[in-house]
Parts: sequence; structure tokens; C-alpha cells
Amino acid sequence: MNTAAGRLIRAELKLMTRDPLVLTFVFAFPIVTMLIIGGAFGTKPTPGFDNVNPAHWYVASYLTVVIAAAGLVMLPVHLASYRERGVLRRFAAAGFPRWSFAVAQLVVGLITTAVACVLLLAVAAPVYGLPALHDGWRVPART
Amino acid sequence: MDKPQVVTVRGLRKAYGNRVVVDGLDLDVPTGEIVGLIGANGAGKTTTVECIQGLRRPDGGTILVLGYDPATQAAELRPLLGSQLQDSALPDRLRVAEAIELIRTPRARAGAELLEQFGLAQRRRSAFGSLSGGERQRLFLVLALLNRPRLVILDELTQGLDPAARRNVWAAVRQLHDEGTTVLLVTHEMDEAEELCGRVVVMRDGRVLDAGAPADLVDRHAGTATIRFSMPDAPAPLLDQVRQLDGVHEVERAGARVTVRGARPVIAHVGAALVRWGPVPADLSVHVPTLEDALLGLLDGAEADEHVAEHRELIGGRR
Repeated sequence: MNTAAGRLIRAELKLMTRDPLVLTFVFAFPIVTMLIIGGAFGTKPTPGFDNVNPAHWYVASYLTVVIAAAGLVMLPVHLASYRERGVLRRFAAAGFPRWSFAVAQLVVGLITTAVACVLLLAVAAPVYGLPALHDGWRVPART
Repeated sequence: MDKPQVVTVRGLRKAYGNRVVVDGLDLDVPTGEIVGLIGANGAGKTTTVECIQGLRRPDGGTILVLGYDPATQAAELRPLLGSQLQDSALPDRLRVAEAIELIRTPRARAGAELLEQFGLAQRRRSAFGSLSGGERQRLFLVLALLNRPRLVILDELTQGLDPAARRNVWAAVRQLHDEGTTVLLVTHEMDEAEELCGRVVVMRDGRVLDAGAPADLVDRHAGTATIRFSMPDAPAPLLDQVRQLDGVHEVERAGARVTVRGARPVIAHVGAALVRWGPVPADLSVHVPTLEDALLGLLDGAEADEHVAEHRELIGGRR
């Protein structure tokens, strides 16, 4: 992977792990909030939660918070600041094709989301237990 | 043309909305030369070099860089260019050594050597955000030279550098020139253009006002030298003698202070006259016109011409 896009993806992944904002909002914030809210509503299925275990309800919801944090906080802020500070121009002049930014951001966003989701589930599993997957094919169909 | 051209621009036009920034610009950069693009802020210099690099699409005219059209063949052209852009940055958390790894191509020279040459060897593991302004500029220069480019474009190269760092960077540019690399230098620092460029192109309002070797421009637009000295009760015979010297335009006296203006050879004649007369004044000073004077003269001239043109239009309009 020594193409322009490959080098950019590697550099961006490295930079992401150094960014406190990303680490907080994509990795820490959904997990901590899930633990707090899940704990507050308990694990007994109630009619208010459609007879589902409320903790499970919130585990599922906070997966979407991960996706939202990556898609709405991390990527747009990142790209806007790159554009404003002239980083995109700098890279374009150094020979990186414009599409390589889009590809790098997409790949970094997907990897970040996947890792954060796995982390969230890994924390949720021992605390609230995870229900078995029904209709697994609907997950990719919905996303 | 005796030398093949690295850059050929003909009739370049670029407007942002209604504001025409580059207006029918012609520019040639011959192989192996350092060509300076100079002019005041807003003259269209940066837009011109951005079009040359394919970072902006011109509205009109043709550009050929190393045989490629930057607007449509940027992918082929970019690996042959090294550039240092005005107002650009790297991600704050990217480290110096990582930036080099990111930008380098297989034909790159040794990054460590370049870092050493520009005094950045100690900063290899520092994040871009923690570098000082001068260190950032030097890093950009390292990145511009990294991939052995055939044309190097340097925009406001020494902005924010201290005098010692500036000398360092100038030495590096001269070395590039010695190695046969062609350089297009954008600057509003006249001493920089005078120091480095074999040829300068003066721009104003998106047009070329004049072009030539710095010394020729100085001769054309700021030919006079100014000599000043103090002589209490300056004797009239001496002043008369000076007035009659070849090439003297004017002699001014304000109290003890005497100012002589004239063509450059006047410097020697006035010196000789003073020596003949007696003790040479201790505060004798000579101001020889620089490229900056030439540029100011040139811009003033252009402005004056414009006023005349406007005036004529007004008169024409009334008729």
C-alpha cells in the first residue's frame, strides 16, 4: 500500500489516535454514557421500552452515537479545518489526487466506527449481557 | 529562444467573480534559471503560480509547464514540481519525519540530509503544530526539494524567517540553481529578488509591467544615486563645481546638509571633488538605487499613467 491513498490512510489513522477530540467523542463518550444511562434504567424489560431490556435498548442506541460522532463530529470538522488551514492545498500540490482525501477519510471513518462499536459491545457484554442477533441480514441492509 | 522554456504562459486570465486578478499575463521561465515574480500585495502573483501548478483553473490563456498543461495533466506534472505555498499548513499532529515519509516518492533524495541542511535534524520527532514559523517554512522547503523536482515554485519563501535563517534559505536556493533546477520565486521582498534572481517579472493588477535582469530594471526605473554629506558653511565654489559635474541632476542645501542627486558615475566625481577640496566630511553617505526603488518608481509610473488615462477618459466622456 505505497500508493498516495495508502500513505494518506496510514498517516490519517496515526493522526486520529493522537486527536483527543476524536478519542473522547467517538470512543469514550458513547461508552461512558451508555454505562450511565443503561444503569439508570436497569435491565428489567418494561412496557415503556416495548418489553425490551432497557440496557439493551441503550446499547443499541449508543452504537448509533458512535456512528454519529464519527460522521458528524470527526470527519466534517477534520475536513473543514484541513481546507481552511491550507492542508488540502498543500497535499494537492505535493501530488495527492483530490479523490485520495475522500477515500482516506472514508476508510478512516469506517475503521474508526468499526473499532469504536466493537469496543462498546465489548464493554456492554460483561455488564448488561448482549442479546442474540435476530435477522442478522437486516443489520447491513439498514446501514 | 536560445534556451528551452520550463514554463510558458500566454494571455493568462483569471477572475474571482467580477474581480479580474490576472489579466492577459505572459511569462517565460527558461530552463535552469531563477525567475522572480515580484509586485505589491494583490498583484496576482500567487494566483498565477497556482494556475501554473494546476491548483486553479485559468479562465483564459494557455499554460505549458515541462510540456504539460497543468489544468488537464496535473497528475503527470505534479511529480516533477516541488512547491512551497503561501498560507498552507500540515496537520498539527503530523511529525516532521512522518511528513517526509508521507510526501516522498521513490525518486526522493535522503530526507535526513535535507533536514540536516536546514537545521531541522533535531526536530524530526516534533509535531508540525509545535514548530516555530521559521521551522515550518524550512520544513516546507525541505518538502519542496525532497522529490528532486525539475521546477521548484517558492511563494513568499522567507516570510517570517530571521536574517540568519533567510541567508540559509537563500544559500539553499542558490545551490539548487547550481544543480540545474529551475526556480520560480514569488516575493515582495526586493532584496531577495535582487540577491537570487537572474530575471524578474514585475506585476501589477494582474499584468506584467516590466521584465528583465534586476540590474537592468534598476537602471531603467531608478537610475539616480543620492550622495549626502554635511559641511558647515559649504563654500559656494565647491557647490558650483559639483553642480557642473557630468551627470549631476540637482544639488540641494539645507543648513549644513548637502544632497547631490545624479547618475551613478556622479558618486565617483563628487568623491573626487571633495577630496580635492580638503578634508572629506565624516558623514558622507551614498544611496545607490535598489530593486525596491526601481519597483516603487515603476509602480508610481504605472499609477501616474493610469491617472492620465483616466483623466483622458473623463475629458472624452464629457465631450
